[in-house]
Amino acid sequence: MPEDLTTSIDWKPGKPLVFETENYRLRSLTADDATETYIAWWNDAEVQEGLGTAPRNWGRQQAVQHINRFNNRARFHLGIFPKGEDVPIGFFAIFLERYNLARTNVVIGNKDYWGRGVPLEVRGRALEVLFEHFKVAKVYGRLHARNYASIFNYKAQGFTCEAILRQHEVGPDGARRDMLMFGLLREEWAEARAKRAAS
Amino acid sequence: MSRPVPTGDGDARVQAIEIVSGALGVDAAQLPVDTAIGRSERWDSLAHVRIILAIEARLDRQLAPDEVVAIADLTDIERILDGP
Repeated sequence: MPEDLTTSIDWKPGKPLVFETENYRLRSLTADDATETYIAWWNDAEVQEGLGTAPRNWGRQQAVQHINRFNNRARFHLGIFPKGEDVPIGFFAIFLERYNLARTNVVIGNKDYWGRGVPLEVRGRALEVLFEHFKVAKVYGRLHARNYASIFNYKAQGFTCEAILRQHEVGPDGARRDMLMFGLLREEWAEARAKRAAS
Repeated sequence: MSRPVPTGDGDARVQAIEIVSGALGVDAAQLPVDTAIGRSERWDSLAHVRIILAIEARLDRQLAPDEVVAIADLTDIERILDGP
């Protein structure tokens, strides 16, 4: 990652959060971003499968309500925009929780970008923002146990599978299914970063 | 560069090499012995999905969550193919 991307971010509580990776710009979404493209992701079975839910059958009103639930204080809903473009390819959510925890999830809605390592690139930069700027102690995520691509992404970034939550949720097919919880501690992230820098 | 994996160490080892080399699109004889998540660029999220589905096909069953999260290298796969 280029050095200039590691600079601190300019953000104040309640204001949009913006940061960049090598190939993408992430910024807080607003009601104006509830476009047909964005709404279609919530109504797409394959995209929603990644979140473990059925298609939502949303219209614009539900999409705007969803975006407005993110206050840019403890909840962030960031669009992922290829640099130089104004149409997002997905979104990245951050939830700051008590005890200095942060939970994240990422959804790539544009299927042309599947398999291109976007979650790794975006979460890699988000980890820097969370650990360095927000000073969180731990970042974690939850996913269903057969989301093999996401399991890879967590393992590749040094997360540890901390829990297997048996029959914890109900999937789109109505069947109960297991969930996984992956976590990464600040010290683990710092150690891995130091190793990368030394290599 | 890591040395290629010696083949013929046992059925599970051979199957693990076949699965990973197939998923990564490399010649089995050229697969490095330390092939693993984070060490092989070819082992990306899509290759990981192919690897797990191939293991499930060989075993004719879905992997349990603890088996899935344990998979990070050839030895992990060999252990699962070997069974309890």
